Amino acid sequence: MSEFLVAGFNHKFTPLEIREKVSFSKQERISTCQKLGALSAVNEALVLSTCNRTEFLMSLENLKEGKKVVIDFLAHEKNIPVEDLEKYIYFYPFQKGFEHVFRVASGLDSMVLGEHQITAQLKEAYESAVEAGTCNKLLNPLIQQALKSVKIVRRNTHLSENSISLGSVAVEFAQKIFGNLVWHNGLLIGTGEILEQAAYHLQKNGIKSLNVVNRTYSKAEKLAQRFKGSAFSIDDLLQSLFQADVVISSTGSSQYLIKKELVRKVMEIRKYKSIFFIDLGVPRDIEPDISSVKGVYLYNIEDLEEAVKMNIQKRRRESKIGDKIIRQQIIRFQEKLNQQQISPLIHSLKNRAETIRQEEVKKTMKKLKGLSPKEKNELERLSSAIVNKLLHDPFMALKKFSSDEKEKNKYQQFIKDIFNLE
Amino acid sequence: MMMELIFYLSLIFIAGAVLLFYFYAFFQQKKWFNRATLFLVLGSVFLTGVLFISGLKAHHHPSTNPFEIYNFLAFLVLMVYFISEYKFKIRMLGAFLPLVALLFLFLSLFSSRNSFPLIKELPDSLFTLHTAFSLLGVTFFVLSFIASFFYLLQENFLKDKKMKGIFRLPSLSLLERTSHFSLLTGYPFLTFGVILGFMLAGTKLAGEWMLDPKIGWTLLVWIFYSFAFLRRISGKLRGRRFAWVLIISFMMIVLGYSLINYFSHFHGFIFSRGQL
Repeated sequence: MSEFLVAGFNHKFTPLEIREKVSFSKQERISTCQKLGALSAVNEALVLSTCNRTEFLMSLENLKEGKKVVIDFLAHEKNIPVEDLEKYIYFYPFQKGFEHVFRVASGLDSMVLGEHQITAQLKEAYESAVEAGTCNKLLNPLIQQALKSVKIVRRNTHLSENSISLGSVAVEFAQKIFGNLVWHNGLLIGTGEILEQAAYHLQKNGIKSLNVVNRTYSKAEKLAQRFKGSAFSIDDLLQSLFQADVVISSTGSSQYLIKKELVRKVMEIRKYKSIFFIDLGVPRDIEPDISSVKGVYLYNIEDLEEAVKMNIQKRRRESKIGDKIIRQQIIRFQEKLNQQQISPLIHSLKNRAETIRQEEVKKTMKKLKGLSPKEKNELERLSSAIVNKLLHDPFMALKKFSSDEKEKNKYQQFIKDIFNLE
Repeated sequence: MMMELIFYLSLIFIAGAVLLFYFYAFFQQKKWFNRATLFLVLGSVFLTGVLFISGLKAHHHPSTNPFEIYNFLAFLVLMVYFISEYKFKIRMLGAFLPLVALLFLFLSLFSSRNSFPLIKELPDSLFTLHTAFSLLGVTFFVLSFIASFFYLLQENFLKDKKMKGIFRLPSLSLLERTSHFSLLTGYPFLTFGVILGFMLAGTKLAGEWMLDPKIGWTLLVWIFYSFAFLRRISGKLRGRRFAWVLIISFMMIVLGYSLINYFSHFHGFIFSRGQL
């Protein structure tokens, strides 16, 4: 029987400079699978390579040899010293390997716990391996079952429902006020990196329009262009506030840019239609007291960080439920795998019995001349029933022992011996 | 005997569903919500059976005695819950609307099964429509009350930055839309129910019915909801104020059912007690 091994490097154990070296581009994946598959020790191979991990999923003839094969292959292909590879590489054989693949597929092993991108990446890696012809009896059902378990994990947990970046949390709060953002306008005050991130999340969630206000107009214009918005100078701040529903600010200003009196004026004109202010500036850009104005909600960077921390904890809790589901899925997968392993024996036993039955029926038919079609059918039915009933118990016993490797091998040999099977 | 068994089954399943919805509200795990929904569907099926058997037995719409009225109300609350869940997917409603249905079932457990004294004198179709429309209106206002209560709660959470609360409740926008939907749907039902009630009273009851406290109170409730309805559709009532108007209006309904009915000459029947 083939042995299963996952060998790899990921963000948990391997520094970026090594991860960069061992990564494989989309184009390289197929040829790498083929090269690995061509090695005598490797039966099946799949290469998963993302920015956070490079992993080899393999079905091998011999586990020990397999480990050496991977290191030698990588050292040769990527020109990396063996010592460097040995220092960081991890190996997960058999059960541990299955569990790892299922966890990776569900995003439970990802840097951003519960992220979805890895599932798509695993699918792509699988497609490449299929194209390379290096996915067969073990990797095919393994990946399919792992992808099936992703759906079950997502259906039964809230794993990916809680945002864990400042930008996405800011959008989530905005959605808690306005619901769908497609009817609402966004305003960015400043042009820093954190605002770019926020703009990305606002646009991703369908914000109707995005205006950018900045002291340096050219910078505002640049950011606005990137997100198909409009740019304004800081003198137009009041005008921009009238239209904005979500205001995100992060400037280097040492004084409050938005004061309570200004907001009160804006709210009067807006007839107290809600505004959500997010102050990401340090020192702060918005006077904290504005939250006492009717219809105004104000959050600062600390509030968002607190929400991020809370959501990370939630995801960790949900990941435990995910792990429990995965363990159940692995049991199912192994049952399937075990049954798949005994199916050739069952098949050959059935064939042998059927050949004998047909021969004996033929002989009997010759002896009993003048049988009517109905009598012939009855004879066929009788002989089939005897064969099926006789084989039923051995088949059941084979399935029963399929989960215990030692017992299974003993019983398989026994069946082969007594029925004289190849 | 058959009806008792089905009634108790519906009671048990709905009580189980409420409990499971609270598990969901506490643990926030989808499995509790799915189990609660399954229990609630089963409870609703049994309750439909109770209403069906009641109707078959008496050859009329099952709303002629307190037992039937409360069962019918519980049934309507559950239907409104399923509609709102399908339309708005506010899972926290599961911990409240089915609880109201359960309360009605408990009330029906201890209510009389004797027909109201006035029933025989009233035209069957008018009476059926009056009760059905009025109760449907009230049921939608239960939804508007809960959604408005959630709105105020969520607004408070958002202002005070209570993170755990914020993420458990839906958005202010969705809650306002739910209140809007329930007002716009419930108001026409209530209006028809009131008109039909007046027609019934005018044609079959003695002249002093106009002085009954139920009449004055019903008119007051209707005026409150009319105000909310008209201001809302003209876009002049929204947010916090809209939520408060709906909450106060519903409190008036509750007061009407609990206190005013007690003094009413022709709605006092609702307090008649009996045994199952």
